[in-house]
Amino acid sequence: MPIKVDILIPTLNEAGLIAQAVANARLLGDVYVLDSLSTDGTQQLARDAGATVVEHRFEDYATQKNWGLDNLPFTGEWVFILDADERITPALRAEINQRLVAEPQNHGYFVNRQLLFMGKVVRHGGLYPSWNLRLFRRGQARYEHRRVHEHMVCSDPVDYLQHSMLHLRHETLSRYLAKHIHYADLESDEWVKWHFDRGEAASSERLFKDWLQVRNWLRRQLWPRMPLRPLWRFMYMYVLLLGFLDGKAGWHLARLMSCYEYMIGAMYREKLERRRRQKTP
Amino acid sequence: MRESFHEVDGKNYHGPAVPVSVVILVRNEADNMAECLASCQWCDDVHVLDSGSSDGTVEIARSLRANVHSNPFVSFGQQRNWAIDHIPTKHDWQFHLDADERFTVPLLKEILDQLGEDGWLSIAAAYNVPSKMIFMNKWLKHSAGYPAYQVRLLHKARCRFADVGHGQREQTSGWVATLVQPYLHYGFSKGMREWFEKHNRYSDYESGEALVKRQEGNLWHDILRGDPVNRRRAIKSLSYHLRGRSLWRFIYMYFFKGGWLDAGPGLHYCMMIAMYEYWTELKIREGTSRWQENNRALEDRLLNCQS
Repeated sequence: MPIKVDILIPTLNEAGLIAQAVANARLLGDVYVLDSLSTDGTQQLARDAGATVVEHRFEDYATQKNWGLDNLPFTGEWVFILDADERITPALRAEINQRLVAEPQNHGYFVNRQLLFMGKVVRHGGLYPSWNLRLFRRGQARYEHRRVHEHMVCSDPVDYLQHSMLHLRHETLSRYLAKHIHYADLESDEWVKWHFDRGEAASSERLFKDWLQVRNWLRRQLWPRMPLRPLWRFMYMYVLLLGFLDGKAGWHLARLMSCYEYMIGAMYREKLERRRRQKTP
Repeated sequence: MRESFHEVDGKNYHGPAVPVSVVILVRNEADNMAECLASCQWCDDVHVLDSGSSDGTVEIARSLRANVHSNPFVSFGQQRNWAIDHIPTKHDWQFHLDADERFTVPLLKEILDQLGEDGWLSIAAAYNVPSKMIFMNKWLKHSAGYPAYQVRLLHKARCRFADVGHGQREQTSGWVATLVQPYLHYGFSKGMREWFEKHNRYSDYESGEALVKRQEGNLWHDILRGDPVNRRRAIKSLSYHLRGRSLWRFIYMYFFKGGWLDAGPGLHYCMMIAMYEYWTELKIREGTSRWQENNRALEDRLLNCQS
């Protein structure tokens, strides 16, 4: 007797992907689409594909998904959070059905994700492995509050699933860049916040006892102050994380990430400069 | 602290009256309006031509005592011609300034020398005027290709504009003279995000053009026999076959054209242009190498296999 899993798909204007996403997810369980007031008919397409659709105004990613976890009429014991551009492979589905029964002590699972880019499966360059906590016992996990690249916090014990889901990239390069520009704007807001909010990391004496805090300190305090960030980001992805093994796909992904890093830096500098000018008119 | 570029700021011009009207084409330029109009305070006849702003630009312009007109935007050429034909400027000479541009004191003095106080002396139809691109409070003297001229000062009975690409070009049978002193161009005044978004759109446009050109296939014919506009496009399209084009462009701008002399802002400007070139290049590759189809085939295989 398999354990019931509900799938939550947050969407905003995903008309091109949603029908296929719902069809794919329904092979695992009931599908709930949490839509941020799309204007391209995503809602109806999702309903037609067999999902329960609830609309809610978007504030930020973490708030939206947490709202969904609190308010959607789930009936299953487990929830899987899936994006409209992600697909569950047959192997992953089989593994989920089998392990949820076999390991009743676990509260959550990290799921790995493989990107398809330029007609290839990307297996290196830091985009893989890409572990996200996506499958969890309802009520045992929530998103930590952050405006972009939010993380999930789940109560122990958690484990890792062996098989990966697929991450599609059907969008054109133009849309992909538009997204990067948008994320860079949000990310640079975070950097500005960290810039004026050093206390937390610096004052802590437990700094080096706690790996997560060290990581946060590196990310929030050291990294934004490093020179040549786009170059390091490229080298990190392409050389250190073996992106070159993915051929052209790896080369271009690393360069695009380097562009992304550059845009974050450019907007960050601009925002700091603007704050300074406001203070000394 | 802003470096001094001799920008007119409303107080530092004490010269005689200038027989020139200013025309400013705007759309959603609320942040630029006040500073731009301050740099026009030497002028007794300032006109703002709006094409549907929704951010209060018009109200700001009115409150600063500019004459506001409105005409829907079709193209730069047509909008400028509308200004020449329909705005009843007090003077025969119009200076077309953009909202992110500022007058300088030396430019005003030079205009006065050319026109004389009554505007009768000049026999030119229009003047090419250079501009200084300002980025991160610095003039990009080398990397932004100074001086790049545009016709901005014109006699409204002697000059009109025609559209070329996404810009415009003057149309006149008269003499086009050239000024030496520049105005300032704050090309990044709307912020980095806006710049990146704009260049994402430009690279769509450029890669589309290059792909069409490539399919037409008479590149060599156009280069050898075509008219100047087609020849330039063909050469540009051919240059996209070049491996690592964005890197070459960077090397050209930064080392050969002397971008490194513009220090930090020069480096950033060259990198941003190189990034834009890279986006264009990659979009052309996207169009020629069928990424999407290959992705879909792979996806079908992975989702339908029974393992």
